Amino acid sequence: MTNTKPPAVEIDAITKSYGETTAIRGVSMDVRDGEFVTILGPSGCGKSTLLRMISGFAEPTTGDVRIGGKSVVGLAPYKRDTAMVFQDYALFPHRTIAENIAFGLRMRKVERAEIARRVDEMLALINLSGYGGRRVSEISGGQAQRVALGRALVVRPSVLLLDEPLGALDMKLRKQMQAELKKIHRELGLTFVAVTHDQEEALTLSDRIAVMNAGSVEQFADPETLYRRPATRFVADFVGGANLIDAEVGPAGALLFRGLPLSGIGSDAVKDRAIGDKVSLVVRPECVATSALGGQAPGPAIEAMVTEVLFSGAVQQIVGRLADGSLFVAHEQGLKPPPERGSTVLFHWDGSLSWLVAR
Amino acid sequence: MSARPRSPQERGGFALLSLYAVLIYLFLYLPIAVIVLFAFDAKPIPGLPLDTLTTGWFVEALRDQKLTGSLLTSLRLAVVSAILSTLLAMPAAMVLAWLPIRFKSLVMAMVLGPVVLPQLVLGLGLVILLRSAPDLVGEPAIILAHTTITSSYATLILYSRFLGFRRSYIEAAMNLGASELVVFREVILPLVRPALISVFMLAFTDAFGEFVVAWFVAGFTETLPITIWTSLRQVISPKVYALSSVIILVTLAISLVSQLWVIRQTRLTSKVQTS
Ligand SMILES: Nc1ncnc2c1ncn2[C@@H]1O[C@H](COP(=O)(O)OP(=O)(O)OP(=O)(O)O)[C@@H](O)[C@H]1O
Ligand SMILES: [Mg+2]
Repeated sequence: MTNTKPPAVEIDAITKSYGETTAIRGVSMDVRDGEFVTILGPSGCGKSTLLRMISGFAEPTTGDVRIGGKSVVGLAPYKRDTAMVFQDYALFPHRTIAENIAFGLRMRKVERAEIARRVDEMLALINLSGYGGRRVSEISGGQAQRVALGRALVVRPSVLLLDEPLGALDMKLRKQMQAELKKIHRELGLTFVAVTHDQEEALTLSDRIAVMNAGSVEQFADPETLYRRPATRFVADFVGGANLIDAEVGPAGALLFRGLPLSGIGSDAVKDRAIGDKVSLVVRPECVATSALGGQAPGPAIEAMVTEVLFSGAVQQIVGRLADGSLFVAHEQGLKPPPERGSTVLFHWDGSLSWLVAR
Repeated sequence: MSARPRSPQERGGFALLSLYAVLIYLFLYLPIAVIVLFAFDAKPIPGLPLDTLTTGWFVEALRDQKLTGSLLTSLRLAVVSAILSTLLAMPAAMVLAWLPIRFKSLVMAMVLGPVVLPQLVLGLGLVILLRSAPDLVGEPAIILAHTTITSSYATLILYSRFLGFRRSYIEAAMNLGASELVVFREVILPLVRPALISVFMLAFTDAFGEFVVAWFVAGFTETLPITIWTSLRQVISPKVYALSSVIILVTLAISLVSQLWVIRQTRLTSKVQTS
């Protein structure tokens, strides 16, 4: 990544209000050229609104949007070099598959022979060669998804926007399309900005993920960082699912859970925090194991009453209830005999894998 | 469902329902059938029983310049009114369906006014208005009146169609580089064409047959309904029956074909695949 190109998309201190409601409250982020960025967040957090401001269907109340270094605020959608894959695909029902794909090229006044060539090329890329003459009503959902993708890609936009592109597909097709999307991104080298509320999809597809909550970006980072070093309690919970121990920083590097120090927490875990800070300890279930009470745990540990054991072969999920009522989950390997339901056991983990966030 | 043996009670109910349906259709189509039948009656004053049949009245009707003249006038005026009312209704319906406007239900209620207003009232009102514009009496006034009446429900019908129109088609087209005008030409127009045609046909038949309001503002213009009405005062010539039967059959055929076409088009363009 040694190019000197300006970022493909720059979102600069954007806010967006609809009358009383504020949909976006101060978002800034850059998307590098050729990057696959996903905007991830729960329903209603403003993902689509952000995308619509890039494509020109909504204007920011304050702030600036730049595409390829040039501000596009006030520029009509059809004058922006973005192409979008709509959640409902929005394929034109009165046109064939080939005509749908050709639409953007016709608008760009590309000559006939060239259009035919590029449409064929695109049909091949999306694995629909021979389907060009079909009507939109004559193809399946997965095929419609690929046509929507092809129709947007064929104009070679400087940014491809995807609003929940796989949202309407069933699980299996979804997985398959994720792989195809990733492959197409790699092959074409275009900039992709996608929106989803499926964290697994975001983790699989993206170079970087912007996690949004209630109109703000809580963290913008690569998938590994998001998962291993979440910046906020929300990110920790939303991305990957985590055990969260709500605690308070005590004197001498201790972490107090309900007033008592948690065992096995090293003092460097709390080194940047002040006494009295309210924090949450993020512990991913896959690094947690259980053992009988009174034993010597190798790292940090906490007592919990086992409420549920969910066995699914290779992995079994052991759900415990902490003293403060919150749940704590361990993913243990299926070969190990599980603790009994109703018994109180020790949940312990490798202290280097847990992580503290502000609360 | 139908294979199940019916109880006597059910059978009685079914018979009653059939009888009811037959009566309804008789009620609807008997006057039409009578007209068509009498068109073939050889007697100069048609009536039952029918002894000798003839097709001569059809020829006579076409020779009658007063009759054919008023038919052409009616056709011409109805086409103009239907075009005008469709053209007026479309943008209004687009605005009502797609743009956030204040007092929408009030606006809608007012649009509906000319439909719910008794036609006598409308006719009377127009007569008073036309006193200040006597030049308009006749064809312009008839067109004006019929456009008013038909455009009001044309707007409502198109409005309900446009409500179901997916905005993402428009956004998709714009996103791919189509300006507002191109979006209209390439996406909106083809997709709402069936609705436009059915609204046009409805407005046309309505304007073609409308008598009351036209009567008020016609002046010396004779539309077909006016000519027929006038001829009622004398003995009704079988020519009128002949012409009427032709109109009935053509109208039925057109409305049938156009309905079938619209249904087919709508099916072709509205079937949308999700997963
Ligand atoms: N045109 C609008 N007028 C008023 N409020 C709006 C409008 N568009 C969006 N909002 C509000 O802005 C907020 C963000 O909406 P947005 O559609 O961006 O959410 P989202 O993250 O895409 O959600 P989802 O995952 O459900 O699609 C919501 O509270 C929504 O109600
Ligand atoms: Mg959305």
